Amino acid sequence: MGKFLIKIKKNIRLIIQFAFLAVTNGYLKGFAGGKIYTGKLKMFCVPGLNCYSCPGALGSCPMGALQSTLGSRDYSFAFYVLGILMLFGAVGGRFICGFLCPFGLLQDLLYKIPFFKKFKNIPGNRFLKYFKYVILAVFVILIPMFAVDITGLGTPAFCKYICPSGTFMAGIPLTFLNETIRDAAGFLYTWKVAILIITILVSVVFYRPFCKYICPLGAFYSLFNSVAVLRYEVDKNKCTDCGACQKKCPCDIPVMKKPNSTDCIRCGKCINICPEEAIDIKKLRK
Amino acid sequence: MKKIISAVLVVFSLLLLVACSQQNENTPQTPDNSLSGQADETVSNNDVTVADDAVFGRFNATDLNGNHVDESIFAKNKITMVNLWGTFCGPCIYEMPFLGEISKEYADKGVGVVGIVIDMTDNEGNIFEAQHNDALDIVAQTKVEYVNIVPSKELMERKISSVFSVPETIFIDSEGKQIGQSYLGARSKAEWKKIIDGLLGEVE
Repeated sequence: MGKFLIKIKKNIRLIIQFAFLAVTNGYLKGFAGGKIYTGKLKMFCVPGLNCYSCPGALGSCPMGALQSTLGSRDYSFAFYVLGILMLFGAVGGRFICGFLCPFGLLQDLLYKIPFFKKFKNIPGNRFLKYFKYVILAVFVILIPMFAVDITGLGTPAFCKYICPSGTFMAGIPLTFLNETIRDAAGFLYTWKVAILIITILVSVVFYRPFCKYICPLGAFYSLFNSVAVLRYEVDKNKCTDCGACQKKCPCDIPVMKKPNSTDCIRCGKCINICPEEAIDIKKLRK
Repeated sequence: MKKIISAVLVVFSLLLLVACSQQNENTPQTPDNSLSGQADETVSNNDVTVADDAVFGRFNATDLNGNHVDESIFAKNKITMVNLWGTFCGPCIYEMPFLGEISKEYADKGVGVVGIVIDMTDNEGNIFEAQHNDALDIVAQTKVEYVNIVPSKELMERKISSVFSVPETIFIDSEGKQIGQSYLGARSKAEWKKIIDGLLGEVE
């Protein structure tokens, strides 16, 4: 019994990731009928990059909701989505990336696949990690707001042209399950699937490349990492500067200096490896 | 200091959540036309043949301008191209000018085009004024002249409330039955003409 509990503790993050995915995508009728749930729960956004159009999805994607409201002819609804996003960010920051995002889970699993050489970051990481902020600004905010059609409607450009999470959770399942949708698939579908395949292949060799370099939602939450209710702290009295945390960190973050780096997705490996137990989640009261 | 910032951020975001704009309080308006949406007061045009497996069956509804529409709208065409669209849907709006042109070019070949706006009403057929105005603007801006139906309660129950993907286009014969497959997604004018020409060939 003791061994089993230890195993659970060791894999608690993975268990939470799977459990949350199952609960928020539990609309089995969608998979059975090749369609989408359109009921009242869809009013609510889930915190991770979880496509509205996934046959199982019970909630909306915050990035999809943001593009949709910014692209609408009447902007007033954007306050609601922005409010939810700020609430998520203020409470969890990139804990959401590490624990509640299905596409983060996929990349975690892909990185576990054996490969003769594994890397943490891709070459040029120091500059490329700012690319996700460009994607947030251009594809999630500017294009939906300003690239409008003759009736004033904007395009959800990140969803339409980039998001591999949408392709994985929605595009491919719906095309597979629904003949009429299959019939409509053209060049754009091929383009999106190609992006997904490249993301999957790179994720086997490099850790969470989408989260680090592309994800606009991660970019948004990263801004909250140092001030969120849930964040890390390093006990300076215990820390010996041994560097074990950075060595273990799959994002190569010098945790002892930057426990709340914008790059950190809160996998907790540093906490587990620290020989002095100097790193922990910040307690709400001392 | 950081604790204060976190607390302020949480309170601020809660306030933003609550500060929903008044403009989005859509109070649905019951349409004035007493002929629409009341199943037990249906006025049927008994001269029109409607097949048992017709997609929309017999119905009474209005178009965007308030004019009466019923199943006879299909009876006068060999093929009616029914385009289901939403005011929020970019691709729908993109192809509407093409459908407007097709409607004029194929009028003498027995092909008609009819639109149905799927996000204008609740499931009882009560109209959302904001979407109503958007639909009128869109029709004017895309220069569409064919009839666009506002779904009545019967139409919602029969088909419209289960539409989750737009634009959806189906082809209906003069008795209301579907011809061939459903088409999802926007297409170019040339692609639509090819499809319609193919169907005309079969129907003849």
